[in-house]
Amino acid sequence: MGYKVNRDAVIITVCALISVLSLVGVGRLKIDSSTDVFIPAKAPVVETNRRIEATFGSLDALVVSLEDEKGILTTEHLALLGELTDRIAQLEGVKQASSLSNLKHLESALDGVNVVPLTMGSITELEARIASWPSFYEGIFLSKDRRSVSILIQTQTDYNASQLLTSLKQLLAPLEGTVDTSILGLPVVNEQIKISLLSDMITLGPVVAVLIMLVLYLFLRSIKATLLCLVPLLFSSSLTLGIMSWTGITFTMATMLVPILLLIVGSAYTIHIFSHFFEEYEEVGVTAALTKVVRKNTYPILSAAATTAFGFLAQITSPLLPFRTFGLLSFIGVVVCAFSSLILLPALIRLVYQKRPSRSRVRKKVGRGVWLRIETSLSNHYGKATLFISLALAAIILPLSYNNLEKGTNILAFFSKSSDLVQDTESYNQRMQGSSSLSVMLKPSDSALHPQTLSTIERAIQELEKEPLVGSVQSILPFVKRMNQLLGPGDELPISPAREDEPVFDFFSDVPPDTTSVEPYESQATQAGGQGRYEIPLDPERYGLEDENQLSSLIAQYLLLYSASLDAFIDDPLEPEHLLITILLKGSDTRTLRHLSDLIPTLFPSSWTVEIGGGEAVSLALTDLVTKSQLISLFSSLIAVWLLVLLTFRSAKLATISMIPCLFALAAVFAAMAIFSIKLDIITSLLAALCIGVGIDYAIHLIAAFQRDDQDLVTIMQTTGKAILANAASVALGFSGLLFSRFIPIANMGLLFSIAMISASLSALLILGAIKVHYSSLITRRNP
Amino acid sequence: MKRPFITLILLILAASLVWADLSAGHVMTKVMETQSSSSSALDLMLTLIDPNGQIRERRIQTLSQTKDGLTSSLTIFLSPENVRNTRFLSLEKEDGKSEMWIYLPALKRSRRIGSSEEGGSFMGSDFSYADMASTTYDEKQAAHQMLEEDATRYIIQSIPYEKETYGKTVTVVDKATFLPLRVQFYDRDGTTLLKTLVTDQTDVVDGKPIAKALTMTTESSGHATRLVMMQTRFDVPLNSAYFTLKFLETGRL
Repeated sequence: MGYKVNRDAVIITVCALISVLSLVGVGRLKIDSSTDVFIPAKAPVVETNRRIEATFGSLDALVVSLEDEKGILTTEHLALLGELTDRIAQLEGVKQASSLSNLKHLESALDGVNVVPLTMGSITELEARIASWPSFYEGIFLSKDRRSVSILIQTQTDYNASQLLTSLKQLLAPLEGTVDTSILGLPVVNEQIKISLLSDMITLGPVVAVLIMLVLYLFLRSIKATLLCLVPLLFSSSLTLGIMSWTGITFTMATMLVPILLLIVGSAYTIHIFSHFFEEYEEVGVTAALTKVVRKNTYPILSAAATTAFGFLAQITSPLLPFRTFGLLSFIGVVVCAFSSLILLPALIRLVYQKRPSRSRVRKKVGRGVWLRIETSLSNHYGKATLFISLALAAIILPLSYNNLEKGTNILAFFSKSSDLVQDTESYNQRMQGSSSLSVMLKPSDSALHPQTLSTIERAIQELEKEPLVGSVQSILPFVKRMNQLLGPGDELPISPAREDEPVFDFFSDVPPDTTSVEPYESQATQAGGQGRYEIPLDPERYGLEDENQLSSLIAQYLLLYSASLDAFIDDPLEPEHLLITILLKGSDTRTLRHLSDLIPTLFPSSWTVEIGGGEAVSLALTDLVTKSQLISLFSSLIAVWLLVLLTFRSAKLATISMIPCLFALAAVFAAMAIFSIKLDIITSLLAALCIGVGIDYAIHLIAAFQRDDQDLVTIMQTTGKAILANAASVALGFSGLLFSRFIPIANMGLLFSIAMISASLSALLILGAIKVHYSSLITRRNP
Repeated sequence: MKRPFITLILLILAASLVWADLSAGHVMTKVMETQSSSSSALDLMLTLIDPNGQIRERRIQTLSQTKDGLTSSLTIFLSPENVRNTRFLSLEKEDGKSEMWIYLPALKRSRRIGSSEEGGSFMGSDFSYADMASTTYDEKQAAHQMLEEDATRYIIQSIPYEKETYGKTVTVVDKATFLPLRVQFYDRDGTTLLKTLVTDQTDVVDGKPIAKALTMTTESSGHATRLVMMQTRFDVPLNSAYFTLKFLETGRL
């Protein structure tokens, strides 16, 4: 006894120390809220984004929007805009901040071109300038209804997003009551995810713990037992947190779920131990009861844990690193949970339960449930029909619903439609040309400034702008056209007569400067600017030139004046090799993104290099990887679990039959996703493999019961069947705690997992019960 | 007894501060004088260096002359080929403003440009138009403060009175030649380092010390531009016809 007490004290102390050490490290957790963390570093889209950022700078863009329903173009608001733009430009991590207040406007003058601050002079003058080039200003810097203005922020490549957003919020805070402000862009969404992740970690754990405690109490009817049951769960959950913090594993939306899932999944093991303990110990005493309970339950708990753990571990086959980490951590967690239920929990029970309890505390046997009566009736009287109808339904629903699954990893869809983030974005998209974007880097086969190159881009942009969700496409073209309009020849003006070739100028050559001219000099400089056409110069004759190469030189000369503002569109103002076009999107659902990604390469000659990047391209690539990951992990899980069941029953037939409830669980999950329009995303894609790992336990327990010849179906249903329903209910209730998540995918996961567990348990009872009644030979060993 | 002593110490301290400020201003004025001339002709090669090592070259020649305190300058682009013979003419007027003209050889037309973007990039390089004119401030343009001084150099902080492009510069000046050896340019807040200019090579032309090769690096991007003065002439008589619309439009005097 003394030895056991000492051993128990050591076990409890070691586990407590490990837990404390694990929780101490929580502050070191590396949190990465971006979806970028899910994408493999060598994924083509990551390489593309790296190349684009090396050439054109950071693709992370932020927008600060100021809105006043009464109108934003007032002297006071413009002064505020100017001050804010200047202060934002000074913030660390900001490469450039642009708004109406600091834009230079090119306008025609009587003897040439004037470069003036856009906001110089009166509001009327500002309106006139905007009206002279609306396609450039409206929808980008100013809404058409003149109620909102934007400050576009280009960040530096390596900047601290949290710090920048905090600074921006501090700048905007005093404006409350003056104008409505909002900050938009991918970094804002990522930041919101980070905040929500932390919030979820703080709230979901306790919520799920309370639900699990409720379930435990309902089963055990003892607060002491309930609390003790929770200890192994908390131990394994804190251990996984500790592994993450001490090994530097990134805390992502996927790995965040591990401690919570362990609370839910592991509760079944502790319930088993305690319920059997209560059954035994009033007869034989604490120590003897625990010895018996542990011996009796080691194999069932370890085999149930093995299937669950391997269901989780199937994620190791995923192409996505956070999923692999999730799989491995969950695997470790489940194994630890099972072993701590068999080692730590008995130690705690021995320590706490020194005396025999009064009989009133012992759980009474509950009468035969309504569900079980229905089930037995169905299996006995309508068994064949139930079996075939159910199987036929599953066979139809599973492929049909899977094929109709909507796939998408648009991170804005992670948040509720009523959230400020979604509301702000939708409001901005209605007023402006879109807050999300695709970046397309082009390397033409010909010169980037060749008129035919620019003309091809113009045609492509026209096609893209026909797409319903494309707000506009930003490119170098408006600048070329504007310069041509301001500096190029007018329709009425005579084309400049071809002058004699200019002498080669070199001040330092020994040849004296040419002073002779065969032509009388007549100044061209007095012609007013703004007489040209707003077009890409395409016709050499119209411009008094011989060929398109000379037009290409003309365009380079135009851009010489504009060199400061063009580095977002061309990689060099004079001899660019690459051009960047940015497609502003008012929505970024997967279907639109895929359509655009398929369409874009067809708009350019095959000899061009066309690379599609940006945050939305990452979302699309992630969607494809998630779909792939789901299929791989689903099949890995099916195979791993089938092999484990094969090992358990040593029968391929039984292993295959035991998979039936899993198929029903999958069918229910996919059908629910189709019915509730739940997308297959980075969280819901984890579900299928997990359902198999957790759901298979019901089949195993039932088939194992069927192997014992001493029990009829009614008895099996009363004992094992009831336990299965109770377990499914507890797991479902635990998962329903995820509905309190601030992330829609995690809340969806809670809902779907609950549905899956109910479906798996009911189908196990109904289908396997029907097989037992009507096709007994299929489900019992030939050689018992 | 104590009070007069403290007053004396404060007076000495104040005097030394004033002396230090004057000295810094004096040094920067000397720097400007060293680099100024009544006329100049420069043949410049700008090499733009990407962070990934890709280089692009631009060649220009600039002529400038100052008459009656007014400076006229002409910039002729010689390469790359597509902008060859593009010319900029800048004529300083008595009101302190400049009149600027651009000649586009493809159109054989010139156009007056109302104003220039001083902070804008010059030919896509790391030099702004303002940097091409001067990278330091004289005594009237900024408040100067001596940060450090040793046997060979001064380190001077300059805060311009009109913070158009930069809020602060820190210049390392060679004591022997009064050439800036390194200039750090800070943002308008004076806190973030934007660009650094380093003199790679100096030379003496007709007894005048010059920075022959300079490299300007933009801190945020790592992009750099090396400017080499391939040929230089200072204080030589220049034909005023260079600074006319006729030369701008025809390339002929």
